[in-house]
Amino acid sequence: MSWDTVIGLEIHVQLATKTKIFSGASTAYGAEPNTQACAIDLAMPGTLPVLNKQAVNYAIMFGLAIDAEIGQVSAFERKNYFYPDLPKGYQTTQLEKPIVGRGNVEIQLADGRTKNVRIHHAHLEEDAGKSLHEGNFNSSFSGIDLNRAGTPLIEIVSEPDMSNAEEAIAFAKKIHSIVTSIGICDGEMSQGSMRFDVNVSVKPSGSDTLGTRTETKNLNSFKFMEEAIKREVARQIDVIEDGGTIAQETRLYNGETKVARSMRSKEEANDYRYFPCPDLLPVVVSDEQVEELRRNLPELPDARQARFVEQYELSEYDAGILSSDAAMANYFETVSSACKNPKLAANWTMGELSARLNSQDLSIGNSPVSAEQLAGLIVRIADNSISGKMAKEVFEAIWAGEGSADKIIEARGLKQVSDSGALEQMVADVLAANQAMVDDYINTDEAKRKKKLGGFMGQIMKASKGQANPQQVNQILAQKLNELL
Amino acid sequence: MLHPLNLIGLFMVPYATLIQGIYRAELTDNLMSIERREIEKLATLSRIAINEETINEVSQRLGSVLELVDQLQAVDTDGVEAMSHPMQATQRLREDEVTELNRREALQAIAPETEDGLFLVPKVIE
Amino acid sequence: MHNLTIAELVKGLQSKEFTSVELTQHFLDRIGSLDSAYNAVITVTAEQALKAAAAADQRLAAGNAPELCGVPILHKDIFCTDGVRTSCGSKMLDNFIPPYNATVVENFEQAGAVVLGKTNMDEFAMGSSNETSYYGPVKNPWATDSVPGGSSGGSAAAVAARLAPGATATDTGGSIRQPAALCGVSGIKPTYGRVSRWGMIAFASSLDQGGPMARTAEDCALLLNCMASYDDKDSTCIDREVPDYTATLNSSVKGLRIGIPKEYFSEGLHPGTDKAVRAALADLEAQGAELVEISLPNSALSVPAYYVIAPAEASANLSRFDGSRYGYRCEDPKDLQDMYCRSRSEGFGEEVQRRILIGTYCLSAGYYDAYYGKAQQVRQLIQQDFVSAFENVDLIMGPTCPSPAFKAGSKGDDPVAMYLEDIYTIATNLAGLPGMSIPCGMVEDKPVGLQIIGNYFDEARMLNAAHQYQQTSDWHTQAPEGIA
Repeated sequence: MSWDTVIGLEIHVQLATKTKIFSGASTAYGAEPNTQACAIDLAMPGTLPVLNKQAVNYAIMFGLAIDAEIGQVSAFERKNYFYPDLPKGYQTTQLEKPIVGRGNVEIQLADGRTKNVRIHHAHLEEDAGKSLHEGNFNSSFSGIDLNRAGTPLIEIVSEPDMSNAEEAIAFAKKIHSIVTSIGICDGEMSQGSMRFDVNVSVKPSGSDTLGTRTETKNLNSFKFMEEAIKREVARQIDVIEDGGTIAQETRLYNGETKVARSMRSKEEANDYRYFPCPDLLPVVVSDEQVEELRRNLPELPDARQARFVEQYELSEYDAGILSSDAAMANYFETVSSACKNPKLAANWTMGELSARLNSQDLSIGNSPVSAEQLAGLIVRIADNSISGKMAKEVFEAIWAGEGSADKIIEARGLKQVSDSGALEQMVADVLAANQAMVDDYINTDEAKRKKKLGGFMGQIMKASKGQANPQQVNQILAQKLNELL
Repeated sequence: MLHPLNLIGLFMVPYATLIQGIYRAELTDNLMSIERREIEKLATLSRIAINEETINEVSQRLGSVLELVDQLQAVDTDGVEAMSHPMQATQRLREDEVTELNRREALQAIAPETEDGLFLVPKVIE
Repeated sequence: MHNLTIAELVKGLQSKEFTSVELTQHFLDRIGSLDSAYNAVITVTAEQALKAAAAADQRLAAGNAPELCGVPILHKDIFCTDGVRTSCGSKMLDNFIPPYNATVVENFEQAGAVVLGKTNMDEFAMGSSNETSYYGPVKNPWATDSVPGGSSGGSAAAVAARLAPGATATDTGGSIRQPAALCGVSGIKPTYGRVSRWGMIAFASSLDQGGPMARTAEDCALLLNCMASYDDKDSTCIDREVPDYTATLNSSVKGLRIGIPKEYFSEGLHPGTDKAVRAALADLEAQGAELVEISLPNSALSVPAYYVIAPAEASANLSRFDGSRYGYRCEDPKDLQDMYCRSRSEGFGEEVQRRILIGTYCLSAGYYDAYYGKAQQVRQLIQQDFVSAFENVDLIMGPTCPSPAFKAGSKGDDPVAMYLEDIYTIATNLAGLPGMSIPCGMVEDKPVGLQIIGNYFDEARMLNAAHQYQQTSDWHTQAPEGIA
């Protein structure tokens, strides 16, 4: 029997505001525990929330980016449950009147198809704190850090429009690309800036009836998400084919052990008792406010891709990769405008740089090689000062913090010799010193002579300590040998 | 003292007053146990421990309060908008500027248990 | 000195008849010697008070001190006071010393008022008799076997017993007006949003409102001038200029249209209260006011609507008291859930637990629409009643409570009988309107209150009418036996 998979996503996006959604405490990442948790964030008695304007604006910007209806009047509800990382005993969130209504996101698939994923809505809410299970304390305790409590989030809820892991990942990456492009999220997955809950169900191929779905929560990388979906789909099919039924449940996927398990504790009393938050009033968004945000909305990934093709003459594919990540796109454009060579800028950004960043799990924002430094390197490649091989060495040196390309080329004496007089002399010297090779060349069948050139090249490059311009040497060599025939 | 609305969850009967005389006499035993389950659920949701000795008393007192608030059921509210706030005002928005600085020491001075700046609670098990 | 009104104390301080230190010491002495009989004050802050009084005296000596500079007051123990325990009448917060001030506390501090201490109250402001406090019941100074009303019973009893000339209080369903009535003092609950709720421990956020208590309407006006403010820390606080409430006190009530809701004079009203209230209305009529019978047809629904909405909001507001970050934590919790359940069951009293359970019930799946949704709709109907009424009248008046102070312990077993105590006061909270109570007679040697309900932000007119009534009556000057 064959099966269809139905996938819907809920994506939590931390908004890049300076302060919390309801308090003036900082949201900067990585501070000492509870140093950014003020009385409001700790739910001290008598404290009250006041809504952050920038959080509202960011949510609206997201709505505009996906062409959604913006809720002219939105409202906050309380979602009640007890948990140590939830100081008030309720999460302030939006249920009945979310700030962003229905919208659409187009995703591109590897085979070149595009697909529309509908957004059900996106709402504003507050993040929870963190429970730490290991530390300088008795192992029968957990330590609670509330620095993250109250960080503004938008939760983006998709319709169940995706039918395999590839589509789900493409959708998740597209959302990442949109929110980073419009600057409402830093996109730092490793810091939890985006987290995914995945709803998965399977049904017999062609059936109209949806199967029972499970929700796998809190996936914080595309890789984990892909694994979790594939495993969950396989699990569900196994269960059903073995005659079992799928329980509607919340699951937790451990990316390290690659095992998902049911979170029964979360299910046990799942009555959140939502009701309108009496401490917050209806949020009214004016047309002027929306129009102003629309006017100032940064370029969206799709538009940027089209522009890259047009402006830099990149392929659709390259433009797509570069525009998918706002930080990468900005980096590329900085490199390109500094070196005036978009093609090389694109190749180096997507190639060597991305590979190195990936291998060290670094984001482009934290790249040890600045856009200006990469541009400096590309300029020297383009003007033939260094060979491609040398360029890699120089890149490594820049990465290691040795300074600009010019400085490294100078310090290491890597400058390519392109002076034709010097090169001619060098070729002549090598030919004179290797008469046997020259004779061998002359006596070889014309069709096989080309293979012999490599031997001369090796000698010449060795003599030049690798600094000879290979194209020029090739030319001169061929010319000189021809003269001897 | 039992509360008629407890039937709703079980039988999906629409409200209230119509049920009173009819079902109450017959289903007393059944209702008693529903009531008990209901109270246990409320106690779990609100993290309040209710001991065996007082559960009947709690049930009775809650029942009398629910009977009082049941007067609402008779009111015709068709087309009336729910009112969450007494004033017709809209939410004020705060500028995104840091105004709250680190006061961890003062805020944790009154905490039951802390270590290295963390609030300690009995181990959290997912 | 303790028989002087705040208006008179202000004059005395400014003309240097006495110093704030003398005044403060005098009231501290009275609390020390008399309060054991009433239990109105939970925490006395003698040291801070005398220090503040000395500072006030310096400001007074320097001239141009604010009006309330040097005047001693008490704060209800629901207002957070930086460095001073704020218990909310609960074991849960018996050890809670907030590192911040409520805006109301801040406002009085700026004005140079001297805080003598914190008053007793029903636990988390849930009660109408002040019998639910962890610190024991408050006694009514007029009859110590009777309740002072609640939840601001400590503030009302303290003002009645002249332990302070004025006190702050809060009102969620009548918690200023009912104890003011039962203790024979004046108290005003302003329009919702007039006084900041920042630092005022929440019971039911959409109903809670702080306000002052004192012996006279004029003193209430003086205190409200300081207490009311716009506060950007409270999203529900209304940005609207605070008028000088004393400026219009002396206006005539001639032509004032007073609505008399017929529903407030029906079955269940004590005949003595009925008579006293009607007599007061006749006094105002004699001064030129016009009495107009009106109807508030949905007023009977205010109690059931309130006992859905208030517990529902409270059930969420009180979830933060979980033993994790402040307040009571049970001994040796065996696990997290045990810590939650036992800290809350041991830390909260019976009435608080009951309301949390009711509120949880009303919000839970399957019941929300029937209870919470319905109550919110009924709330709208109740507000509409008032909106219609105020198209024809300037103020609405009637009794504050159905009867004078009842005996302590007499309603303890029946929560519903207790809830009906607030039958005339609750509707104004649901509508967000200002309400006031002033003494208007004695029944069975206990005070009776006249309730004055105003239109939104019309506190000045209410205070004016109350003040004019107090110009021709002397109920507000009477003192319980052994007090004067």
